[in-house]
Amino acid sequence: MQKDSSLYILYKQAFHAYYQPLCQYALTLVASAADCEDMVQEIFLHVWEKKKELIGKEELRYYLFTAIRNRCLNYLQKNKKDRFTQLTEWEEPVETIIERDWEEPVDLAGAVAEALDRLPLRCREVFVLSRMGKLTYQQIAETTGISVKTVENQIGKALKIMRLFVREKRLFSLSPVGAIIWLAHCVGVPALSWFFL
Amino acid sequence: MQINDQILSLITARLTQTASPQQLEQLERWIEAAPGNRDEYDTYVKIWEASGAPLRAHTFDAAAAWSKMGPLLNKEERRGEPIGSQKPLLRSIRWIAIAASMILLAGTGYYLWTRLSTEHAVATNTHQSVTLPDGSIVTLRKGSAISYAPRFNSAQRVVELEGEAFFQVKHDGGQSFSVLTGRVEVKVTGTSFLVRSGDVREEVMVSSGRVVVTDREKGSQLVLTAGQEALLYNNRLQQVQLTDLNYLAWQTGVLEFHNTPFLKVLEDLERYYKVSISADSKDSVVIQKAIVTVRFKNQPLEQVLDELVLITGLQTRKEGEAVIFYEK
Repeated sequence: MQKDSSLYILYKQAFHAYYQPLCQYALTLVASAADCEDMVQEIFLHVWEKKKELIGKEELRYYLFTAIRNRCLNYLQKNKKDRFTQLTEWEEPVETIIERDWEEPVDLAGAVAEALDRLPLRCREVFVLSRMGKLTYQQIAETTGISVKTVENQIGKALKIMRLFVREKRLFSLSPVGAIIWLAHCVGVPALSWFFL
Repeated sequence: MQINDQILSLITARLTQTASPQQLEQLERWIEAAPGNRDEYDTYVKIWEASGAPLRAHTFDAAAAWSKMGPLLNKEERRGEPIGSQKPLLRSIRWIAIAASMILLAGTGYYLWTRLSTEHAVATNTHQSVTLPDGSIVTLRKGSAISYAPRFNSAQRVVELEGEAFFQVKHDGGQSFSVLTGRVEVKVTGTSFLVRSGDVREEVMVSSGRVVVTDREKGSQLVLTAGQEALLYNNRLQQVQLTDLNYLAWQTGVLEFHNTPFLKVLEDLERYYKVSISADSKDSVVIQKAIVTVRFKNQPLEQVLDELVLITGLQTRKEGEAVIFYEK
């Protein structure tokens, strides 16, 4: 009994520690916050019923993030096919980012938030797993089924795109080219804006 | 500045805390190699830190979810108990045993609850003031969170912090008060100080009294008194000059500048008013050399800008939300 109750406490602590990051990660894949919460709760129930041996161990973190990812993919498969394809069929788009030497940004936080919204889905996912899930490259690779090198590249790419946005913000207010890029963003032609960069 | 893939991979490793000692050394060498490199690295650090807030923007209530899950779990716990049809005597012994163990369980449960359960406070939309069980006051900056025991035990008072908060600690006999962040422990008896905990930098700034800051990984320690700051950055805990007079501005509403370079003033205003404020400093000696001494208290941005125009003789123009100072 004593043993069980300390396990229960560890379980409860894990729930409080991981609930929010897991939901936030799920929300990058599935748009409905309520569904995200349901899925995270189901996973925790499953841990209590079937995976008690993970409680109190570092492996739990990896297990939880992998489990929520699989559940989200199932969910997407049932509901929205295109997003699912984006996440499972991996191809590396080639993007050349041309040097632009601008002043430091005016609103760094705003630019970063905007950039995060526009990251390619897969790139954003890997970044979130590292930034919020605090998973290692190895764990992210296993969770998402890509190579460790690709994980590293994706996080680097996310940083680079955010860095670019931070510069671009400045660019908008200064040059006609910036205005075109901005316009391209507005009318929803991100491809066009990437072309300009 | 554009960095190559190798440097990007070093920076990525540093930020994700996966860098090997050799990588850290390589990165350090690159940072030192040219003055622009450090700025570029710092920008990446800022981007990494800034990326946390939007990803955390949607908050989920773990406590509410837990109360929803609780009943489901109990059912599961009970499932393991054998329910049999034993003889009456055995059965009554069984009931006594169950009653006794329930009393024991309730007692243990209460004990553990008071010892181990945690209170959480999160400042989601505004700064938030929290009074701790001992009467100490914590002002949480928007987006920050603390957790602590609902009653402090007799030996120590411990609060865990994520983000930035100002602590006014009540003196309580000889009992110490500790703030834990990811990497740092701040230990005090009665004093006030600010802790700013990011993924890459952790800062402790002391307003009054004396605090002990410990690097929880390496064990190195610093003792700080009023007006001093400890900085944990690049794996090194060091004491630095507290130059940022306005570190408490978000809490007090007071922005103060003493012989401060104009461009630094603009940085502080930006941070405080959350509006982009810059200057066309390229050809303007005035903007580059201007030194400002002024104090604002809860003033609207327009007034502050007018005052700066008066002091410096510069002009302002607006581009959308952004404010730009220029020399006529």
